[in-house]
Amino acid sequence: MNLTSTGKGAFTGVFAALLFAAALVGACGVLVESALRAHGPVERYAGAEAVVTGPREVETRLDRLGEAPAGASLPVPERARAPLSAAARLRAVPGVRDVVADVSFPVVLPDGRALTGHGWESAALGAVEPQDGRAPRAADEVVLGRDAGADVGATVRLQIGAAPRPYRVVGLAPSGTGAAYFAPAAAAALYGHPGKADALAVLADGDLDADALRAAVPGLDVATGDARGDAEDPSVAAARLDLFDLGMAIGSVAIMTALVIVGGLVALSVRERTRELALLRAVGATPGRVRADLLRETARAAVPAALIGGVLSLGLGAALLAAMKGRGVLPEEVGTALGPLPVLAAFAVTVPAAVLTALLASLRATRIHPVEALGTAAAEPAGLPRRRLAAGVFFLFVGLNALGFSFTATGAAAATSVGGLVLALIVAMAFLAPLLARAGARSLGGAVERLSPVAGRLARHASGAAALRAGAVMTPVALAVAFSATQLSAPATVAHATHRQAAEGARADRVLVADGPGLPRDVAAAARRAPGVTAVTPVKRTTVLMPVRELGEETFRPLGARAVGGDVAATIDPGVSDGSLRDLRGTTVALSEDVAGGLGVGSTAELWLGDGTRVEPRVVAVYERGHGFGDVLLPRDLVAGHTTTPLDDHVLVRTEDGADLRGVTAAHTGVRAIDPAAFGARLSQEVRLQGFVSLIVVAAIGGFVVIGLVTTLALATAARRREFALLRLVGATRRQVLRALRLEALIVLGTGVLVGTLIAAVTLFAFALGVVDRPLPTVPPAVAVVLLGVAGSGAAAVMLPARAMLRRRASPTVP
Amino acid sequence: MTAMTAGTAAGPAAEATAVAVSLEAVGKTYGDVRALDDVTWTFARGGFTAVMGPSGSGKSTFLHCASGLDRPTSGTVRIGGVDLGRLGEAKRTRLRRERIGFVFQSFNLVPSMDVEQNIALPLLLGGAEADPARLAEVVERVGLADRLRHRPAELSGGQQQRAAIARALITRPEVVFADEPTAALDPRTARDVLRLLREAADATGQTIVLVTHDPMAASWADSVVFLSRGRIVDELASPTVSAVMSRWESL
Repeated sequence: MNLTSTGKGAFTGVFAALLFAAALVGACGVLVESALRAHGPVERYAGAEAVVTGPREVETRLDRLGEAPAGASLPVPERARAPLSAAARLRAVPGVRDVVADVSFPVVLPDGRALTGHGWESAALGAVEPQDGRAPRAADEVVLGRDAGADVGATVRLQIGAAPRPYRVVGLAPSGTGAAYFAPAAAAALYGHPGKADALAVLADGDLDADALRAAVPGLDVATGDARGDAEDPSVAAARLDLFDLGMAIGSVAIMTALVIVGGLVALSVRERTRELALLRAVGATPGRVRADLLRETARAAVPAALIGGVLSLGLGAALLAAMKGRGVLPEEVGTALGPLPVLAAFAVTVPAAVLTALLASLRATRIHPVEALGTAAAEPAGLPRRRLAAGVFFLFVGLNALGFSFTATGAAAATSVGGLVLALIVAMAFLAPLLARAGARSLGGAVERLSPVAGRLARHASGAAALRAGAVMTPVALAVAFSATQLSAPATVAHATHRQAAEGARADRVLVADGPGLPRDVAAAARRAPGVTAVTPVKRTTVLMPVRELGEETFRPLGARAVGGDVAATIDPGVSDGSLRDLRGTTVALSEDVAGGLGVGSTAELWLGDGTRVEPRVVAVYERGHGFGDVLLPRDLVAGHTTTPLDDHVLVRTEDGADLRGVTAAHTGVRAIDPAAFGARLSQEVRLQGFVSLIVVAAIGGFVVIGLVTTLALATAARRREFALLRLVGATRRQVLRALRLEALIVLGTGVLVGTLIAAVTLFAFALGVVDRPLPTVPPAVAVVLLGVAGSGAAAVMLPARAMLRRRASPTVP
Repeated sequence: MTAMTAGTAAGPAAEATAVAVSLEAVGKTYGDVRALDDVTWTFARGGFTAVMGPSGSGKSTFLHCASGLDRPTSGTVRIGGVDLGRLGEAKRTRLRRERIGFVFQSFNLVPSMDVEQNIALPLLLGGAEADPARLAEVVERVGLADRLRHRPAELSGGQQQRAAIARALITRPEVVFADEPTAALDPRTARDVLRLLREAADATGQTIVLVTHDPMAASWADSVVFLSRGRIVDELASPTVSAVMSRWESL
């Protein structure tokens, strides 16, 4: 038999908080599992038994501070091509029927729609048969999908890496593939990587020995089964890395939030039942018995909550993935892996966490003396237990240490340390909350008392006297405010810096952009020939992998890079602090100060281009505006051939008055000339997309905190029935009690908001200084919405149960 | 009559009357249970009356209705001539705060406040600062001058009850309702508490209504009223312990 009985309120509160925690942890599990296990869909390579590509991972060794160098690897961000010479060796493997060299290149229809071009032999992979007409044989023949809107025999002008040229449609493939098929030789020419293919698709009659294939082509990547999907779309593998990080980050915050909230709830429910527990002790229940009952009781709420939340988490995780894909944060091809593991993880995290917090709270219960049952409810002790104080000071120290670090660090290291800073400060605050509550009661209480002498004094007294309770409420408030303010402001600060740096460094007065997959390389050349144009810089965005040295430690990181050609120095000003962009030709590189580390002008950097090719360029310049212009600038000729498509992202044009670019835009499909302001808006739109992830994180954690806050507050208020009745007995009117309660909520929630704002301010100051070199962070209006939402729901959670308890006509008797 | 009841809670008309509390055909029903059955009674100003009765006789209901803590189902309760039935909850609360003091069996002190804060609480709620002289006088009377900074949990039961009495007296109420104030105390401490109530009646002319089932406590009163099954069945003037005991036996 269970001796203790939780009030319905505490049970519901713990249940709701754990349900949400489990759902959140499980949803992060879905993200992580999808990152680890989900592959892109196998569509075009469905007919292939195995797909051979270049190595899809880059490995290196990194220097560690005071340790032996450690290995590190990253997925190749763009397509890693395979040499055609490997095809012959693959054919020699027993069981192999044929090897198809698959090539892909962007094709733009006259109406601007983008297709992917392939050689006709690739059609065999997806078992595509021309439904009308025949296979392409001549260089100007093409097979299009039925939905392209051209009939057999018609001529279409296709833009493939250059101004549109006419092709004759000789066959029609099924709709929906988004593919255009060319004669094999023509496709190879259009592809532009002689001797290479995107992938070698291995066709087989029966079972194939994958190891035999690997042995035949050492150094290349052999994918079979679902992994073939990754070879089809390399962006999926890169996105999976981000997804993994994101899942782990939200998950860890969710677990910490769950500990804070459930811990507060359980501690509160034990505290409010001190008298009942003391009574049990008085009638002979041993401390162990009381503790076991409390644990069992928590487990009774936790187990079903974790199970239900775990199951719900699958849907939540899938919805999160869908939302991110819908907003273009993740490529559509990233799959969703739904298995039992996230449910198990949610269960394995939330139930022990709940039981652990219950155990800590029950230690308090066992210290209850039976005699306490005989007196009236005792006031709480004035001091803080020494262990709690020590723990709080420890985490405060950790937080300040992180603060010091983020002042010295720059770039991503600073950004990472900022996350740790918030967590450490919040944990410190959770431990020290009663002290802060008392300080808040003194300072805010003084103001409130001047505002309303009678109710204000009662409010001040209550918030200061029940500092443990006030602390339990303040912590989630501060957590919500600090967390959402930093999560929302950090990306906004980066976006703002990006926008500002890009605007400050812009020297071009026209920008050519594409609506489709990109700009053919001859657009830049055409612009150079246009009258009145004085300088042209084609820009191609790519990702490079580079070990970055920060404070003596090396980390292997994907960096946003731009391949630039033409008159770079005349069109962009990234704020060169050393060297010159004029030297950016041949095997050279320019680095932003954030990633340069110890690399100065003249030294040699080591990095991997988008397709995993290792280069050792000489550093010719170091610049300041890494946010506006990317962390790495490379000569376009060095990058050429090492990216998935050869197309430029945009072309910067500097003109004399009266330059006419209409000739350039008219000659190509989907090319427009815009002014730098419109281009800047386009850029910040892209950066803002990254902010969407922050928004999801804030919504999830913020929603969780609000649920926890509301249940904690409602529970704490409901437990004060006796106190309210007492005040009413002594002669306080209902209005006075409610007013005192409102003011108390103002003091407690206000202190929480203040502490949270302080934590956020310190953190964001450090972040802004470290990441964008300016002490002023950008705070989006959404922060105010969160602030008001937290304070408003907190106030409602106090006032609604109190109003119900102090019913107008009820007689004030002390229960 | 109408002129008197129309007066405000602290109106001069109220001061004039010789009756502190009057009940007129007061009934209180909880569902099917008739806890008070058309009780009519008056408590004279400055009198010390004990209300006695066995458990379930309606003692607590009587006290709650007579003091304005609860509304009767039927009938009229007047305190100092003011008809409580005509007052809203807030006005009733204010009247209670200004003109009535309460003492309970379970003391009902605010645990987080020290003795002085507890005693001054009714004044604070009325928006007044505690007059130091008045506070010192009350504290002196209950003998807690050296305990002002203690919290209730640090006091003995008798000390807590004395603090509660000080809180009841601080506003100079016309009527003090005491609900089994000595039930949780030992005989000697109980005697101290009862002496304080007796002094309040004798020295300051306050009206005391003491609900109890202890004949010893009842013997401190000027008269004892016996309740049974929701009705007043008898009154005993100048009670002695043995007289109360024998009357009690016959209930």
